[in-house]
Amino acid sequence: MSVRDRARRALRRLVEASATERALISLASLAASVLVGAVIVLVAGRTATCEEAAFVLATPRPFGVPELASVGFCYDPVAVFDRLFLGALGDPASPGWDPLNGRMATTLRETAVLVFTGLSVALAFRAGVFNIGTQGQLVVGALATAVAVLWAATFVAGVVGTVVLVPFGVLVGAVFGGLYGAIPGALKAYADANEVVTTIMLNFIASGVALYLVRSVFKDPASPANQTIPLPDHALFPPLLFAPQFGVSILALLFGLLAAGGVFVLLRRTVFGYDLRASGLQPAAAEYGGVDARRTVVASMTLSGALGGIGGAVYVLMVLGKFQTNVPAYGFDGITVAILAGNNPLGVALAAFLFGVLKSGTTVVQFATDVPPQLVGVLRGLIILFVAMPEFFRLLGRRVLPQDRAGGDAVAADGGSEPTGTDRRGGEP
Amino acid sequence: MDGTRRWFLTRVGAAGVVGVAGCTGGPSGTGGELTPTDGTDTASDADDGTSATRVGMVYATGGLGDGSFNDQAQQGLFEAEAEFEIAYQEAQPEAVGEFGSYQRQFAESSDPDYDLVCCIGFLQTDALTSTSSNYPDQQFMLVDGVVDAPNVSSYVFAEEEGSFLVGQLAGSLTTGEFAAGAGATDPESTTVGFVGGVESDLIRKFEAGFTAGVEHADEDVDVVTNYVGDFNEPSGGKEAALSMIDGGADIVYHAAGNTGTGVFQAAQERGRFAIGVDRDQSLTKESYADVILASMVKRVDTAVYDAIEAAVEGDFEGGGVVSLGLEQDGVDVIYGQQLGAEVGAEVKDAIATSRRAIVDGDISVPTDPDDA
Amino acid sequence: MIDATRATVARLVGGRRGTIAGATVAVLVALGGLGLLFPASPAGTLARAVFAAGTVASALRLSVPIALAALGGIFAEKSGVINIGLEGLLIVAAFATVYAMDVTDSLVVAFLSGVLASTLLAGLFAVVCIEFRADQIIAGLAVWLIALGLAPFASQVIYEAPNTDSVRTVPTVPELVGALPSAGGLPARIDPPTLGVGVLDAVFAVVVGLLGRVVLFVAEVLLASSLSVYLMVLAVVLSWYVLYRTRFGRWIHASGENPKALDTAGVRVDRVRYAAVLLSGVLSGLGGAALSLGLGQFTGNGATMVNGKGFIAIAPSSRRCCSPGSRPSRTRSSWPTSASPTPSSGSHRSSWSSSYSRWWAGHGSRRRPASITSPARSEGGGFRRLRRHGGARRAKDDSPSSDALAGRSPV
Repeated sequence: MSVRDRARRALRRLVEASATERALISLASLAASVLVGAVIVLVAGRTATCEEAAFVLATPRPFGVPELASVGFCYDPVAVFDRLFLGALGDPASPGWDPLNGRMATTLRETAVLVFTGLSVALAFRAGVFNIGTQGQLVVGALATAVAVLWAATFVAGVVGTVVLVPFGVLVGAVFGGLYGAIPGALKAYADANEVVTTIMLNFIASGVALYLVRSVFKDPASPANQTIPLPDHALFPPLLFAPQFGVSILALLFGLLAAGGVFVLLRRTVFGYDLRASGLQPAAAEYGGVDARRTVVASMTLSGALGGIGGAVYVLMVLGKFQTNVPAYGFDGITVAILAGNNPLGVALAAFLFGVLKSGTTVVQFATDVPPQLVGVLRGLIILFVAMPEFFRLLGRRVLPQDRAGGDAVAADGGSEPTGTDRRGGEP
Repeated sequence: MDGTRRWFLTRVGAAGVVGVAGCTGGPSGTGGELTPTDGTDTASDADDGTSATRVGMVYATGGLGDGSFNDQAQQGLFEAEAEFEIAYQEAQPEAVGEFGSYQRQFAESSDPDYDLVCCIGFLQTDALTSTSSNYPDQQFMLVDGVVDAPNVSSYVFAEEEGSFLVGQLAGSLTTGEFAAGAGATDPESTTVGFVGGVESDLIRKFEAGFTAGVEHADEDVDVVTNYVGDFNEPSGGKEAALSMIDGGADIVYHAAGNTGTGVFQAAQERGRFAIGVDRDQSLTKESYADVILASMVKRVDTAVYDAIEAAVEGDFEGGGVVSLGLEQDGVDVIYGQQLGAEVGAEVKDAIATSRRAIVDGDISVPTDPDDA
Repeated sequence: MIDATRATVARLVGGRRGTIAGATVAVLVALGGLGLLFPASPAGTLARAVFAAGTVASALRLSVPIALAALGGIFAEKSGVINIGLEGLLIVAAFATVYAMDVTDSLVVAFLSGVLASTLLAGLFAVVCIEFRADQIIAGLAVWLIALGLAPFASQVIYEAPNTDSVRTVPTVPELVGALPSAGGLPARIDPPTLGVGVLDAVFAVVVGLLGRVVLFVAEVLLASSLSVYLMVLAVVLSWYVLYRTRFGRWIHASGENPKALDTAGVRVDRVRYAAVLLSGVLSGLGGAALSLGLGQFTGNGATMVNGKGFIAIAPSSRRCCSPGSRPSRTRSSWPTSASPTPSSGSHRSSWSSSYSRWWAGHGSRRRPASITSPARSEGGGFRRLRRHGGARRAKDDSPSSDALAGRSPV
């Protein structure tokens, strides 16, 4: 069973489940991972040492030592999740909440980049290609954008400059990211190279080459860091509502939502989108129906890379204002976003927001509690784990609601009869 | 000081995992049996007292536990904590883009209100430039970078000066026959090595000083250089140092944060020597003390301590750049705890002479290896 | 006998994998030759670097975690479970090992703890995939992400930093056996004995000189290698033996290639898969332990010290990598129209692969995979059923022998 076939199967399953069911599974996954995360926090809270309990379980626990009336924990799970989710939005429940606060800004900033990387992964997934290389495509797009816009910014200025330069920068990012994404696409289509392996390797190449180029060619001589010369303000996404220091632009966010809608329409309403989905679902049937499989692979990888490249452009033109080596792992987060969204472009927008909350909340957690912020990483993994096993929730649901026969039947149709849950069988039954 | 604490925590942690979680460890206040208390817990500190000076720490990427740069900064915090009534909160950003977020969060916070935010590492310079102008009432201190703002106190170090001295040490020892601890030089080889973290102007200052120092000791000694590309990749540092050592280098100096741990390990494995950086690494990386000849200490702790002291005493002055070189004891060479005594007196004297010459301006140390 | 020889030759030169290996060897030989002829040229410098004992020892050392994880990946993959979470297994093992080493200071306990941690996580993966029928790719990614968070989290809880303290490392052979010289302590060359006879001495000088260089080179590599390297070699040999020479190995192959037949033969497919996935946890655990104990520290920032090694390990275990039968060009051009798949087949398995295999079933007689038939020939029993189904196995299998045969000799 190859990686690609697995990916294809994943896709199939996710498509087969109804949209509502997928949304429910995603929500249930979130809830379940929060529960498991709370247990981890409690266990860690007993392992760590501290002076005062941050959290006390006063009721006698069934497994507790009998003579202990209460057990103290170093970490407070309630506080952690309160900070993680509410803190990331700047405490919407508290009086005098300003929706334009810094926490919210960070959340939306992360969301804006993650929408693109999530779309990048989801689009490739839909075509049956597992693009782990969004990170590399983002790095290439980001560097190209930074260099090209820096060059172009000398010709135009002012509001006109913004109107010209920002789309130009996004275009450059898309082109370079797309070209970089086309490489593994072509390798897959014409040399039968496994895209999982090639894209991972191309990630290393992208960051290495970017480091070399920035260090030796495009370096800002005034800065000790390995970065390009900062772009002038008129070449960046205008901040509009938010204060400029937050590094977030509503325009970029809207652009991201637009892109999500665009990809949705592309997949649902165009011939190319149909071909792409068909090759993802049924490559054989698609080919039989006249779809050029190789061209579709290259095209979808190019498009996927372009979306990753736009993510890089947004990162440069909105967050940093220059290119700097050690780009955060937006590309890898894009994979988790796409999986949580079930590769639905509109779901990507929501999932990107959730991960924006998690990323922004990480800093709040680190700031406001003693709990190691790496917990958020664990949560992220747990969410994906639960999303991966809808069967778990179906079993749970059946146990809780035994009378719900309809749901059970749907499961059987979807899940098949083989208890091992794999498709590695030689012949047809 | 934190060595024993770590040891203790480790064992306690082990007990917590090995036994049923929930029977050991945990807080000392309610139900917990074990009470390691040395007052470094941050949350409880932040909760008590209102007169305490509040300090926010934003560390460099690479995090605590690197045995050099970040730990050295934390050391200054601990020293200040022992001396003054302070409460602190630490943040360890994972990426450059997060620096601004953390700085802003400390600056924005009103409950508690932070008196001083310490920003460690030159990569924070750009973020702090914008943060400091947006929060003019917040006091900041920056290590390794300069922000020209009235509310930022910048601390920079003359790393090349300290590196010059350890370079001279390496250059003097490699040509002769020298054996101590677990290492020995190869008298036939006249090569020494330098392992850097990410190639950048700052780390190149270390390299420039080291190379100049080696040449000062002996014109014929070669310096091989390698940049691993990461400050937290010990395996990369180990391979780089091993290939240098196998190529004839018998003393390797590193300026690579935790990557340098691999350099020590390579030296130990091959029976050669290494020179530490930022802290007295024969203490902080005790298991490698038998190969660490000396360390080029960079008193980031002094910078942090001084800034906190100024904040506590209310005479914090922003807008200035504090340059810490040999003259100000900001950098220095500290001989290894185990091997230092074995280094010959004439070598030490020559280094002491150079030290004076640098302080007096008689030797000018380059800051870029290309100028050397 | 002749067949066997042909198969061996075909295995050596055949297939794309053979071509790649041959090209690599050719490049190395060319580099060595250039280096010998022009020692002053860049080629000479490069050749000296590539052929230095230190480089080889370093390459071996660096390959330990990747090779062990890849072995684990092969076990899981052959049994029909693709384990993309190898990276995560390496991460938890790397941390658990250092922690156990720090607490107990025992090499054995440390390695066992690493293996235990990794196997537990692999067990979770197995339960999720096999019991709850989770998608394996997504579950594998989840395993990676969980480990990526959990190990630094635990380090932060215990050591108050994402990086752990330094602990003892895995010793090299000379460090264990004091009598042996260290890698650096070997003589630079072996002097030939002088007999006083001019011609003989000259011959000795050449022969002993050449032989001595080779011997010294090998000795230096062996002495510079830590026990982990020996462990890796041992694991490779054992894994090969288990996979190709034992009944369990055939079960693993069968559960991947023809689970129905295995089921018919009275072997529980899910149990075989559980065992294979747990084995991948054990092997990855050894890899992670070797990785962090090679250094004596766990570093948990960013991508942690594992930094993609587990993903690289997927490459060799991924069947699509070099299998000649899986080229889209070849298969799609001659796609059988009769096997047009129906999406609503009521089974969750991918119709793509089933139709694919059906197609191959039709062509099965043309190339009979050697890896299944030969062991089955010697053993028999319930396994014979499998043999009859052997032709129906999917062409994507790239076990070395069948690969070579398929690629090179269309019988």
